[in-house]
Amino acid sequence: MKKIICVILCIIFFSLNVYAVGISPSKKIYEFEPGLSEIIEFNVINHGDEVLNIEFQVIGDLEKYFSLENAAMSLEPGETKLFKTELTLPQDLDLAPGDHRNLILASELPKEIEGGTTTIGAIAAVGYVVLVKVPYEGKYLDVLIEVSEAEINHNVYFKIILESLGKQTIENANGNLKIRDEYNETLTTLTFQESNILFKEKREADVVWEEGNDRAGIYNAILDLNYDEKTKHVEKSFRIGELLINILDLNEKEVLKNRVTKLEILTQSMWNKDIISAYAELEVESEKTKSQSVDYEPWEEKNIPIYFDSADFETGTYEAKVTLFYENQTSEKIFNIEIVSPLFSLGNLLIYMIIVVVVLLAVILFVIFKKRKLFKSKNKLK
Amino acid sequence: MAKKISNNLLSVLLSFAILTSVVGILASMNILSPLTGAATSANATVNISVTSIASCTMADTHINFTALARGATNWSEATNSSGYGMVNDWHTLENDGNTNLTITVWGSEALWDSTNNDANWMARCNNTQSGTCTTTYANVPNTVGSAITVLTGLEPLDASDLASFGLNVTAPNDELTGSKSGTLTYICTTV
Repeated sequence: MKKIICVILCIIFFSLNVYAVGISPSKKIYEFEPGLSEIIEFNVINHGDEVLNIEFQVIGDLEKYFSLENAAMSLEPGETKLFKTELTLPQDLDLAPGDHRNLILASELPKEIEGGTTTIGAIAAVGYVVLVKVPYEGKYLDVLIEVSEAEINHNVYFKIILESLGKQTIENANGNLKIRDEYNETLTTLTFQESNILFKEKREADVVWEEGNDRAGIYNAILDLNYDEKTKHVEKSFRIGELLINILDLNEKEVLKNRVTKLEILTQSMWNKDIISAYAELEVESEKTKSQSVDYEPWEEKNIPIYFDSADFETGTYEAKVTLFYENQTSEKIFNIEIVSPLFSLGNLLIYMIIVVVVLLAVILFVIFKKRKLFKSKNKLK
Repeated sequence: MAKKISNNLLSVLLSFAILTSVVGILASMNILSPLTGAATSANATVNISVTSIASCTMADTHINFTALARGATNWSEATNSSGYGMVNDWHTLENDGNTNLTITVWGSEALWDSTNNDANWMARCNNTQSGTCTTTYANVPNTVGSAITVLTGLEPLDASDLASFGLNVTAPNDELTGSKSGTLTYICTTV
């Protein structure tokens, strides 16, 4: 019994503690030069609520050129300490052109884990990025597409960032930016031009897709760039509008008391990609019912069945809140549901009316039959 | 009996009051500028450089699986046809810095005694409020240099800074009995 209590306490203890490590700043970029020597400094922050023991290590292709001042440090809750290291590159170092990304990792020291059976703990580590850029021989353009998220039928703004990383000046750069939809069909092609981009120079070309598109979803921007007989191909996906599933209707607005009724929620995806594992929840007077999960194809209309048990409700009209959960989002709609006694349900009323009509017809036929009989017997007497 | 104030004291006080008024008037007319850094026109451009902070917090640090038979598999999901499931337990990470983060993961402390085989524990991103989640299980590497990317572009804003990660573990056939523990290190780096 004591062991079980210990295990439970350990689980609670480990669940409540918050382990957090931060660094500031988080990145440094260097242009490569032989014999480069730099002191790198950053602050290490303990955001957590207990003492944090940190160890440092460098990973990357230049790790052997770093000399760490401290391999470990301890921080009180809320404390910040300065960390220093030196990067010294040899004079004769021959590095391949491009970006050489190295990380100085600040990791929590692993803690003793007590869980009882099979337990996997997690610790956080933060990496300080040291980026060493080695220039290319000749001409070389690095290209990055930035795009703002846009609303439906609004302009979409692209920023094409060109950075010359080759030692020779780029005389002309011509770009074709194709916008493609979910079927890979090209919706529009936008163009831009830049000239005389010097070594290490960064240029920004602004390109606008006017009025965008009228359908929400994820689109692809595909850039083919030609510069001084060289080419570059870059792709970037972006969003127009919001991921949304509309709740259109509820098929039954009247349910019988003391019955489990299958309701169907009519919904439609307003998104151009698949949406998986969506489900609905029906809430009436704090009583909640969940549906099974459903998947949507782009723009698909779907009926989600949900079973409502009216046993605990009195007859009357209730607000029924339908909530749809999907991709960390929700859609809501409120309907009125009427819970009726089986005696007064619409279906039963029809049956009652038919019975009344049949009875009335029977009475009328009976009266006619009686009258005829009386008439015949009177004639006989005459 | 109240003490009388001397003329000297009065003249000192009066001089001080006059001096204060004159300095105040001159300062308000910008003739004298004792305050530095004050805006000198109604419109101004201020350039502020905010230092980037890469920071992450493990909000839920433990996944507890039930006891496993040798060769059996269990995982974080609630639905599990193998009979070992219903764990529904995840590691949760929060971006509490001010820059977008890429999250990579590696096994900093081995889970099993009998093997260091990556395939005996796998990790994936389960859910994220922002960024791109890699939702298929991948082997957990045992070296930091081979850390696998599970999430890119986790944003720092409160409504979009949380992500959860799941595990799939298989007990090796020749594993010794007893409680087992391993540690995953989630590395947060700025883009």
